Amino acid sequence: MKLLKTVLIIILSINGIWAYGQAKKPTIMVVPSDNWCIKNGYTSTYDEMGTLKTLPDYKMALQNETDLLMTIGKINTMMADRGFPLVNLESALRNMEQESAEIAMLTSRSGGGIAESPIDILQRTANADIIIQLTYVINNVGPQRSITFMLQGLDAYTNKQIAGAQGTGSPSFATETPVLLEEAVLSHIDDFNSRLQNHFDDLFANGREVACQVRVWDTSIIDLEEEFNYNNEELELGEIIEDWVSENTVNGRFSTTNYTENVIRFDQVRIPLYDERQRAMDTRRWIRDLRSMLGGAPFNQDVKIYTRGLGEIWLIIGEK
Amino acid sequence: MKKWTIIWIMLLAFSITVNGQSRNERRAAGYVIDNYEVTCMGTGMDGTQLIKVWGFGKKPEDAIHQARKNAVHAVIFKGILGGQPGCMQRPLVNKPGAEVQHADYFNNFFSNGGSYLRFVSQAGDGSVDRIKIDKRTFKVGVVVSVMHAQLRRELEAAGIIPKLGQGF
Repeated sequence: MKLLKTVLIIILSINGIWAYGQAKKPTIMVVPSDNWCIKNGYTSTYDEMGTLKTLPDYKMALQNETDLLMTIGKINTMMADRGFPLVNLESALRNMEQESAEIAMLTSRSGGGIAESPIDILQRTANADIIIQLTYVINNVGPQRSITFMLQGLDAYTNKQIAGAQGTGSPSFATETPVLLEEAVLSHIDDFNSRLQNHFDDLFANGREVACQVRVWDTSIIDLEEEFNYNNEELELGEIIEDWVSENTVNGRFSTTNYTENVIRFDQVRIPLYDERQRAMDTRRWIRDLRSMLGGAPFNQDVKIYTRGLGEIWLIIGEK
Repeated sequence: MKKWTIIWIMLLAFSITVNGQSRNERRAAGYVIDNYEVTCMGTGMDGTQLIKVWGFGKKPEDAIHQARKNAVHAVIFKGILGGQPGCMQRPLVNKPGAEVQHADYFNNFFSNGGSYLRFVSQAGDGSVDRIKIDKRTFKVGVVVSVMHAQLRRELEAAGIIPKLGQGF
């Protein structure tokens, strides 16, 4: 019995180490680019305070364009074959609609509904950490047709293009569009993946690149220029936060792109992939220590953490 | 007479040095001579690409074998930059010095009759371009199909390149 217990403990410990040894995996989704949607007429327009805004209508595009569906399907299949399954845009959109309907219909025994703030509704969008933006154009020169194809891998939080592949295929007299598209995917996907792998290598070597903002509620009694005596130094709250970020990033790598009494924006913040106990780190876990620090003396502030996916975090001082 | 002897010795020493360099270079390059020509001929089925590659040899058959090695070597270490669109422009192995670091593996992989043959096959009707450079050397160009997706899996399994997203 004692032996069985020991064996179980060892197995569980090994499982635990293995589970903690995995970094948080970014989600990737293929979407048609805004350029493609606008050129092909798949847009919706709405009035925002008197200004007309045009947004891509992915649902309409997927329902009408078989070629687009086929191309996204082909990319998804090839990525899955290479060991990195993607989030499917069509399924994500369908799931979002279904979720909205269920939230609206679900009630408790006493008649209460599901609590949802406007921000929860706003965040309920089809999102991914890396967006693969797809653009293609069919070129016609006399009877010959060719395809110009472009894949852009965009980090949703740093807005950087982290991978890409583009080119124009050989002109052909008789090839149909789906065949041209399939050939374009086959030609470009491995070069694209090679660049994506370079991005992942960089991430493992130098930490995950995230963005972080520190803001202040307008009801707060202090702002980021309030001075505190901390560790025997008289510093502004913003400077103390900046020092904390410097100490808690890989090799102190970050940039302060904005610093006012109300907002500090840190970009290119490289957070480690694992914490000191080898648990996978994300932005929320990373910033928790700063919240604890601001909750204690001499600051004694309530702080709200607001996450935007895997790669962006806001810390709002003054209230929860 | 003595003068001629000195000249002969110097010439001999010089030729030995030249040959020594060439041998060293060959040893460094290993299984292929690095200045082979390779061009893209188009995309094949999923995970393959068609390339035209040239090889050198004393007999045309030797040159064809060398060309096949060159084709696999190009996909792994060079990328296919010229010719028609559709081939991988980036090599499978990007890390500098990987060829030297894994020399044992690659020497075995590219040995005559080695496992590189599993990833390359003749494409088209098998016709070759044959040029006789001199009495002892043939230069032969062949179109081959390289299974780069399978090759990637092989290199991943050997631990030479990481699997896409490994570590997540």
